[in-house]
Amino acid sequence: MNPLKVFMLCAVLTMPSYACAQTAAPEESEVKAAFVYNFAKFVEWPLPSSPEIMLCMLGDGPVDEALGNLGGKSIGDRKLKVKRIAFRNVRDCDLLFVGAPEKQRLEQILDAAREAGVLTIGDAPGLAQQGVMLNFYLLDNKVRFEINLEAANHAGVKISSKLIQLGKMVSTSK
Amino acid sequence: MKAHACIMRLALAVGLSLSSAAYATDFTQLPLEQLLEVEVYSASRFLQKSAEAPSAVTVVTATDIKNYGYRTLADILSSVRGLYVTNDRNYQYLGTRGFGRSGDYNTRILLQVDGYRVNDAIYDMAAIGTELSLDVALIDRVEVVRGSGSSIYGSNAFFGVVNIITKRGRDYNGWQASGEAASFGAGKGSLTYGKKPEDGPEILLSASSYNSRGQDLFFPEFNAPATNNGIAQGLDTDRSSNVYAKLAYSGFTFSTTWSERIKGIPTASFGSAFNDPRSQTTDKHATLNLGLDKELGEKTNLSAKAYYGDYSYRGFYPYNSPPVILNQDETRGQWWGAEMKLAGHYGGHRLVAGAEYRDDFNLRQANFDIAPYRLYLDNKNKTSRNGLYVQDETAITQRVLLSAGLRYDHYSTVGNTVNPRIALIYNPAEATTLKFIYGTAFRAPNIYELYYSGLGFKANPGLNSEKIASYEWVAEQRIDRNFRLTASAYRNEVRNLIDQVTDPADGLMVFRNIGAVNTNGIEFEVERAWENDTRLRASYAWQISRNQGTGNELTNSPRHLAKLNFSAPLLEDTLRTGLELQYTSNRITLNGETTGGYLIANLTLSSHKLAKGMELSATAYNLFNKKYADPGRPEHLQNVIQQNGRSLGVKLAYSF
Repeated sequence: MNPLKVFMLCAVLTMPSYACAQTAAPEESEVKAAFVYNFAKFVEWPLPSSPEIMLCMLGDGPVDEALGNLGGKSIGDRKLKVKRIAFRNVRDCDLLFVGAPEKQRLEQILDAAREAGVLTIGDAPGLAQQGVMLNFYLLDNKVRFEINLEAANHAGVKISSKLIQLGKMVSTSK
Repeated sequence: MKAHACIMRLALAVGLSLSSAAYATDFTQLPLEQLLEVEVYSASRFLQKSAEAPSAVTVVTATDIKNYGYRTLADILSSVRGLYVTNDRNYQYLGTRGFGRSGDYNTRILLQVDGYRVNDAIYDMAAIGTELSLDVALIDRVEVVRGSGSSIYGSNAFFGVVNIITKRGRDYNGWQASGEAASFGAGKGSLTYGKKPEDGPEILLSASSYNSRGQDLFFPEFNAPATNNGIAQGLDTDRSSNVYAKLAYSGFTFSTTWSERIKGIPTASFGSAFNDPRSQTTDKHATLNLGLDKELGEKTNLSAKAYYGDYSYRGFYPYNSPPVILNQDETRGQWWGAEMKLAGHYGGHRLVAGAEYRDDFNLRQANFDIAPYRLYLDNKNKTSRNGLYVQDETAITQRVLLSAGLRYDHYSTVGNTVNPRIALIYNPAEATTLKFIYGTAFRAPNIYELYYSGLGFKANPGLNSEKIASYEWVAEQRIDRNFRLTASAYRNEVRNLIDQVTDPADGLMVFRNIGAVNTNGIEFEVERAWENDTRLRASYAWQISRNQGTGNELTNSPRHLAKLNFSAPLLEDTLRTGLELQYTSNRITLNGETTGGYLIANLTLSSHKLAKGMELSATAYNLFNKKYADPGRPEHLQNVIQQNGRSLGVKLAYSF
């Protein structure tokens, strides 16, 4: 068959157009952001609550844009606010998305977060074992999360049994 | 919906991640249990062209590489449905869907690393053994895309495309040192550093070195006192080194590779003297690659790249005249090229258009005796090529997706060729996908086939491209979210196949467009994962390939291939086991006999929980010490070449 003819035929066949969204697979970052939103629902912080839940992002990574879109969403009667911070300002945060930080930096970040009672969320293999409270990983193209309960307890952050049921428990490697 | 989310749909179409739920959803409204079920596609992955070629794709990941102790790309590809590897103890050759021409140098598969073509400029060879310019430990994933891919990729994407995607700096986030030891005096060491600073470029640097003493091998064809009673002593050596660097910053990615592999030849190939320690080949690859990915507005993504490549080969072949004369065969190919691609989503159409130019500005082939000096061949050439391609994908109805592509190529050597591809993807039910794919592909003759002459060979500058038309039907059924079945039936029709023949007029070997081969085949695959991360992949492939001129079945073309990969945690996740079984049925050899079919097993035990940052693994290859052989090639006196019996390898990696 003449290839040009084939191509023309296809061009004719493809005339009707439909919205792409109907069959699109979601981007990893969007699903992770949705998890973060859910995490905020299922934790309790040690300090008295303010009208805003502050979600902080450190560094930049592939999930930033999707996390940014969470800004303004409500959780109960509290509103979620998203901002990017330098690591000194950790104490203003309720949730801290640390992404995949440098190793040396991570310890400093986690120390500060523990003191301030901040829920830490990581997005790189091995972070939960290094003391990040919740950490994403992929299994068969699906987003899963690990929980380091010990790290959360140290910071006084209470993770609900709902999350505990669904996540994979890990402990800090010594 | 963002433009790149539409690109995700392509990933769906490729079958990497099949899920037919409608995702125009606000995910934050989903309960956690449902979020856990959502299949995602990672943004980094759709940058590969494979996402644009709807096809039957198999993915092998870094986890698989660890779980099964893979040492080379050849090991990885051997585990893939419908593929098989032949080893002549000089190079390794990939057979695809019943096509593993004895004498071919992996020219009919396009091999890419991070989207850059790595088939060399002289032989078009896709290096899959230790001569590959990349340490296997740096591989994040390998995508094997079956079928004609010329509509996007141009030449060599004949039976398929193998895309290697490398790891990123953040995957290391520090240093990693590793050491390996294996049977036959083999050792390997590597050092890698990777990092993604909060601001500044993400970086990955790696160097590795491998050395194997090899075995003394017995070849009955040479069993005479004058040829050391058929024993090739200490000739199966392999020394290779790789250096790799990658920097990525704000859309730009720069990478460079350098590699050298020196392989001793124990087989006395090309009629050279047996058991002469000077028999060896050296392959060197060097590349420089610069790419840019950029969003142009809301809807369009631009990717541009420029690259430079340098490949050289040198072979020493001692000939017992007598006295013994050392013949040197050498080549060098240097090329540069650039490609630009636009992808975007416009009113229900997902369009990709691209243009590519490549200049092979220095192509040299030489052959001579060293002393006394005698020159047989000194050929210098340059060639250029350019290509233009376009592909559109659109949903015809909610359940039917159509993808159509077309590519025009112009070669300074063989002129124009146009190759189309059409794929229809139909989802009759939530968990079911049916695909039909038709496409043609070509392979332009390489410089070696066109111009190599000398002792016993003559050139044929009049060669034309070889062509294939392929038809494939694929059905995929999801039983549950971690359980997938795939069945596929295909037909390949190859015409103008470039074959090496002897010209009866002068007795010289020459390449001619004379072959015609038809292949019919079916394949089945099961993939399943369990909650505790136990994984299973099993496949069976049946095919028959016939030379249309003679009606004979092809040589080195097993009718049956079966593979099983099973990996599971042991002792509460402290250990992991990986069991691999591979069955290859008998193959016809060049002299018309057959090699026996064989089943080999490889078993790996690994642990990453011994100490912080420590990974240890041990593999028994060919666990049951099965004796088997691969068919020899035209350059061998041996009809078959024996493969390794049981061997052991241990690897220790430490991250800090």
